[in-house]
Amino acid sequence: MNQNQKRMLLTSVSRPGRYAGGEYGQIIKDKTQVKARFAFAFPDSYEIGMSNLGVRILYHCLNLHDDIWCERTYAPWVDMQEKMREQNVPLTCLESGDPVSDFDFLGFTLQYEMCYTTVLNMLELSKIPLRAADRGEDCPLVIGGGPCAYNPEPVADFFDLFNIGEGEEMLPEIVRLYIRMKDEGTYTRAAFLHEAARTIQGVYVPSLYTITYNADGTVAAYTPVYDDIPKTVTKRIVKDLDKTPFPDKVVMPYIETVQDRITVEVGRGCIRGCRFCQAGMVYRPVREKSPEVVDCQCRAIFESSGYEEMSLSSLSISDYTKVNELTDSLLSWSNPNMVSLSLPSLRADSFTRELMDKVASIRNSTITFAPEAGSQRLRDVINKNLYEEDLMRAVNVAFDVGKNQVKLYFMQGHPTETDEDLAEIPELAHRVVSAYYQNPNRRKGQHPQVTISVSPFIPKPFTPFQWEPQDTLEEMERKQAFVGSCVHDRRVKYNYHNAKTCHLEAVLARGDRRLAPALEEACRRGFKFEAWSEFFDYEGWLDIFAATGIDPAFYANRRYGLDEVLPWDVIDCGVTKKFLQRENARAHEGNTTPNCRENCSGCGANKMGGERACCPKVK
Amino acid sequence: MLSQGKVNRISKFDREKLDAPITVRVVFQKTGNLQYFSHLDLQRTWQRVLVRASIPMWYTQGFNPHSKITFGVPLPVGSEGMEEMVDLRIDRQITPAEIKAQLNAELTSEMQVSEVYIPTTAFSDIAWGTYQMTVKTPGDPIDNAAAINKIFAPDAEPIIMTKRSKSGDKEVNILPMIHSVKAVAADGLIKIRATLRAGNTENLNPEYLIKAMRDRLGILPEDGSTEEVWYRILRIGFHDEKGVAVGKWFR
Repeated sequence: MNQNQKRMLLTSVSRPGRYAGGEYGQIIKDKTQVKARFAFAFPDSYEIGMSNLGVRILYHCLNLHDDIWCERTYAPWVDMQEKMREQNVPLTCLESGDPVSDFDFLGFTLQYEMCYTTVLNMLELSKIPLRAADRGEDCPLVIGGGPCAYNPEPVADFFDLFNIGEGEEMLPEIVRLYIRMKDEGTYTRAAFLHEAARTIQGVYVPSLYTITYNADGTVAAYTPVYDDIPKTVTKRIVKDLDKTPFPDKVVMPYIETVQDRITVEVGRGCIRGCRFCQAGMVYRPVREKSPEVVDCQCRAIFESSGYEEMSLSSLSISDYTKVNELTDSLLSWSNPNMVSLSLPSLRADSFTRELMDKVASIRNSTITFAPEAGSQRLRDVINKNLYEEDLMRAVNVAFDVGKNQVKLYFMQGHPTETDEDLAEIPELAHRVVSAYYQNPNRRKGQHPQVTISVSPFIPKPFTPFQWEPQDTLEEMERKQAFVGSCVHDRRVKYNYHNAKTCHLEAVLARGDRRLAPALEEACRRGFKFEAWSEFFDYEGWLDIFAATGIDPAFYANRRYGLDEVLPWDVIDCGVTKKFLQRENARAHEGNTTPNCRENCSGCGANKMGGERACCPKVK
Repeated sequence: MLSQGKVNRISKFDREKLDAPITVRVVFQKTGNLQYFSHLDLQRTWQRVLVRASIPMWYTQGFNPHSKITFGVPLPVGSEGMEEMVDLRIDRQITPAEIKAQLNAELTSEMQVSEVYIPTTAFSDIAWGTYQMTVKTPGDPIDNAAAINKIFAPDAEPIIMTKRSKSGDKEVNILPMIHSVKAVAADGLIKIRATLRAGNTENLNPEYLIKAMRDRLGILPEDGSTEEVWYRILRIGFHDEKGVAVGKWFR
């Protein structure tokens, strides 16, 4: 895109800053001096994509190599897409302005299933064939990674290669292999893919595995086409989070993005093992960063960015063993520099007055917890390991310091759930309202506001609930109305998610390669940005499923057999299937499992190793 | 991995406190890609730039302390600026040269600081802004330049345009908001120097001149090809009602 073209396009669309590039902190290299160019794509808007920590990290990791230039690209908003098609302008990268199709690699991060159509949309805008099988030697190698890559099957036909697990080491290794084969003159697309699958742990090349199906539609077997590639692809982790590269400088967006602040992980994985939670399983083993390293990284980003806000990232921040030590050292420099600290994902049972005081800010009067289920019985089924006393103690700590707004996250449709369990959701909220009025330290003259946000259960691969059926759409909607009818207090606000979106998400989450024609058809019909409710077209999807001969209920509402070959069995995420089966059985018995610090439950992820992990070492 | 520490930069905390906060003016460019970012984006960006450059900003007292920065006249999206201005309140010893050096280390080449000084003029004095416009369009540049000079001459026909404002669309004659327009042909292009109303009370976006050229003269077709038809707008300075420059330099 030349400057005049750019000017004409950018002066005719909304929020042109999304496409301008030129941000402070972007990395510019001489394209004639690099050996591989990598386009890192986030299949959503600039504002969403720029907020992603994973992209920041991997952009840094790739650009640490002098002969690799990684650039960024995001899905252009609909008005821009229209102009681009009108002017026949392809998708480009921000740093160089060069078309994505000129790159050696195009890497997509798959953060949520609802982005799949946007992935295809971006391929189409790049004028790259959607199916990997149709791509010639000159096409970029299309790579996928991120949480959805744990079941890559629904989009397997569109990718040349997947990264399973953590990418800090794996992704540069893939590019280095490419450079080496090019240098040696041994590179062909096919030879490279075979070599990557053979030699780099965590690489899954879908075209190198054939799938057969049983008469009932379930998967019969996965067969590698070569003897020298793994039968199942074991995910990759970085062994020592203290030593893995972390950006001390970030790309600073000029326009406002969703999360624009210092963000540093304190660790990966979660000791809790909630049975619906995919992140809690696939990021195992639980590993921590040292508090000194976290502090140092936060400080470095502050100095290179000037951000006024800092957030620690973790699946459960209050479970970080050195949380008090870390927050003390952060506050020692963040306070005089007017940087505010926020701690997301606080657990009610490990939430203390000390933590509260550290993050208490006058502007924010809301505190958020996620009990996930209303009744104790159901919280035991999902292994939340949270008691009502814990929650009441936690909200009182918040009320003590003057907060009056509480947000509570729940899910509906957990296995074994009854209407009695559901009715407990508003009841619990009502009891939080009462607790406010009984708290002698509450801010006088203020009324509480308790928001309950209830989202439908979506069975996710590699969880103890991966076999469980999702409620039918009618049942999800009935339950949503039922919960609403149980709210009797105007100080309780009730929010719920679009059940139709959740239904499609379940289909895509547990799908297999036979979904490819449906996704292809969706792309042909112009579907994109489906995580945005205004673009989600459920009736359109039903029509597509009918046209492509797909029964969505087979994926969303069927109870998968415990011994069935699952579409994602080709991946080994560390946690064993035996453990997941055991956990599933305990759920149906209503038994909880202690967290990883109390007792090892033998999930199997310890075989991956890792420094500062809480796992017992493998013998 | 340790923080690198910044070369040649004194932390603001190591600087001596001033008796009272003072105002300094920073003159900077906003060019290239940065023309597509709004004034609001610019304000947020500067808050962060000042922090990472460790400029000893004065903070308001109270529940929500914040630094005070005031910008000159907002630059419209799609125009570049050579003499943009921002006034800062600082409360520790620092020289203008240090401010300039520390800021430039934290800015890209498209937003470099050219001058830092103690202002003797106020942004509220600004009455006119001068723009350098470059236009590439089909036709003879000499004829086109003459036609442009004619339609924007003080005694020309009124140019009625729909101006958007908070209180709704308004039909306005833009001619009184034009101080002078001078177009010349050079190297196959048309170069226009235009001085237009600028400031809080009345402001004329230079895009209206482009629109007038389109409507009246039929040049710069909107759907034209990109190599043959383009324009660029550069704001180069300001002056007050009496013609005195606001800002140090006025070309």
